[in-house]
Amino acid sequence: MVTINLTMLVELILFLIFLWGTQRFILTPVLNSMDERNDSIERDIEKAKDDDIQSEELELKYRHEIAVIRRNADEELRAVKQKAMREHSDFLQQERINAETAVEEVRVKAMAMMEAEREAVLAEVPELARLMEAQLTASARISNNGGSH
Amino acid sequence: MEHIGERLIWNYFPFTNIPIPGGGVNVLTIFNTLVVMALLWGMMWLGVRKLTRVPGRAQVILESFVGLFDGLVTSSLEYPTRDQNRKFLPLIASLFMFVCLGNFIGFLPTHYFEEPTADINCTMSLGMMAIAIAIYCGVKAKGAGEFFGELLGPMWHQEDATGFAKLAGKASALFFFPLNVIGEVAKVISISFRLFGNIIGGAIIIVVVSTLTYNTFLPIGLDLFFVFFVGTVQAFVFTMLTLTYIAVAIK
Repeated sequence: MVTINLTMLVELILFLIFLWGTQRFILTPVLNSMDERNDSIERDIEKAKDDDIQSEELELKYRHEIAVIRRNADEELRAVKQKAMREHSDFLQQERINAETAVEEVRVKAMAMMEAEREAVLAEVPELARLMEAQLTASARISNNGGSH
Repeated sequence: MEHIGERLIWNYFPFTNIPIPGGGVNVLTIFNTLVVMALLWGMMWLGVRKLTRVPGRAQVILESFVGLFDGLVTSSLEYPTRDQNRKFLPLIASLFMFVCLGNFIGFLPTHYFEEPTADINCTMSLGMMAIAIAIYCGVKAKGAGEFFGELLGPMWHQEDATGFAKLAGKASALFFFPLNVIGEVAKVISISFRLFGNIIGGAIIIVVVSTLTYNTFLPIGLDLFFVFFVGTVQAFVFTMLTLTYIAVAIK
């Protein structure tokens, strides 16, 4: 038997109470929590995008700076190399000059010594000739005396 | 089997001889409604007691449920802002939960637990509330003149008609107006009796099959089918119809 009575009104009131309680104590906090999370995630995504753009800009800047530094370093290296080669070349030139000077000095000194030696030897020649002559004379005398015996 | 559908009615306030007006109250329906409300609030409290940014299991289930109905309401009503759509979310979500658990509660194995939705008073009150809300939303969205003007039929509003055509258009309201009013009333009856009939029908079939057969497992299978499958489907149908009536009224 289906009876329609005051239960209908009571059920309506109970459902409205349930609706109010659910909205007030359940759905509002849950929706706020979900919205906060979604907003936070959206903010994080936006921040990540900004960071990504910023990192790309920084990477470009970094690459540019690296290129500039590398170019400067290459130029400096080239300059240093050139300077070193120039100094090396100058040094070698100077050393060669020094060596040639030293050789010339030695050669001049040796020539002078040779000349001195030659003159000394030449100075000794008449004395030697005299000595040899005296010896020869003495030898000839001795041989003559022996033949007479 | 004659007792099927019968309700325990209190005609007097407890422990008094003061009569309850309006034909008394179905006490088990009200008791089970209170049980359903308590169970739902208890289950949902598990989800909201510790709301964190990284949700726990109960919070995930609750948020999934709320998100599902938020999407349904938004896609049905199509208000431009989120807050406008959100105004209807508590009604729709509460209605589904209430009707769904109301359909399930008869599964509990004592005779004190009966589906409140197997009582026409419950389904009629929910149906009348749903249609009343739809009408209120329609009046609020379109204005009373336009909303109730639609009840006069499509030919009432012919602006370019003249002479006899205009007169016939106005006269057609005599036919369309009662038809549309009956249509609005029929919505209440349709939505209420659909839910009531499905739930009470399932209960009747289970009792009939259990009485007429000596099979142990058949009534259990039928119980599972009618309580959980039909119960869920009917709760969803009731909720979606309410949402559709509101959407039709405001558009």
